[in-house]
Amino acid sequence: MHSLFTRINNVSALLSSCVMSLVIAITLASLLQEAIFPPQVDGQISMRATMVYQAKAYRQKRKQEMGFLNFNMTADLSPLFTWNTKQLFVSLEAEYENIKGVNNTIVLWDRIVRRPEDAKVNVVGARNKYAFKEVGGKGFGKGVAGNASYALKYNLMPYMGVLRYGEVTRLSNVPFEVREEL
Amino acid sequence: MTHNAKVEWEEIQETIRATLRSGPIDAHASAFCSNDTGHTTSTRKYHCKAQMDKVILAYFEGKIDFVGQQYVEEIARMWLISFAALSFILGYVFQSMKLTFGLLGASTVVLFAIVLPPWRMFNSHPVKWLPSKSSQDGDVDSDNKKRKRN
Repeated sequence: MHSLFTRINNVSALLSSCVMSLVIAITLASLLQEAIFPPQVDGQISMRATMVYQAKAYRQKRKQEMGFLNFNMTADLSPLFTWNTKQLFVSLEAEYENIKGVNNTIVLWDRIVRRPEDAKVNVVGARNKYAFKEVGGKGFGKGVAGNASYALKYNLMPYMGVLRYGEVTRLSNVPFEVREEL
Repeated sequence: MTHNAKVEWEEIQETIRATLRSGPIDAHASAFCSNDTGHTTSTRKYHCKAQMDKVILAYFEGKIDFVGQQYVEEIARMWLISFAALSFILGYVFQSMKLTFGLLGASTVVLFAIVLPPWRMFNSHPVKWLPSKSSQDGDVDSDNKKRKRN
């Protein structure tokens, strides 16, 4: 500490130790808070239409079975916003079984929520943002005859700590309506 | 500090005081140089420049004495630990991460202003040097040589 340079060195070393322990303390506090007071989120999905057409996807040569959804959705995600929440990734995912018996999960609609003011989701008459089709496959196959389940899931990204995943609500066993071409 | 270094430091302090006493200086002014050493003009200019470097470096060195170093160490540690704890508590209460790191950053800036410059309060216990032995009565070297022979 005898010269200016060594004082800068020592004080910044102390500072980085303090910042490190502060970060660890915040992480532990968030973990404890989630364990003791788990956030209560709720929501509802209602499917107005789930139709399957033979359609040509973007930049594909031949037609394949594609799903077209129309849904209403409400959800209240504000309990998830704590001081340690940076942003929230909310997605509507469809789970179905295709003709080969493989379970698939596909994200059809998503939204990034950055502020607690925007935490209430209320969409009416929304369509799927992303194409509802089998990647590289010929169609839904069994899924068309069967059902799909739709789940609203969130991914919480904190400032400090581990990523957290969760599910808000679920709509199970929704049948498809297969239509001929328009 | 060796005897020579201590004498040089005294000289540097005296030149700083002389500089502050006199006014604006030009490059060849005698205020930057020690007393006339009987050198020629060219070597005296070189001597002046060497002294000016020492003055500038001494200004940026920011020396403080040992008691001052103890104070600085204690102040820095107590300040940083308490402000880290305080900013965590306040941030948790008000649920704002900006408050936490903003308070920590502001307190660090204030700490740098308190601790880094060599204030007078950190230099208020200068080291009390023992009186120096002159080379006439018993050098350290000749004493060592005598002991080696024995």
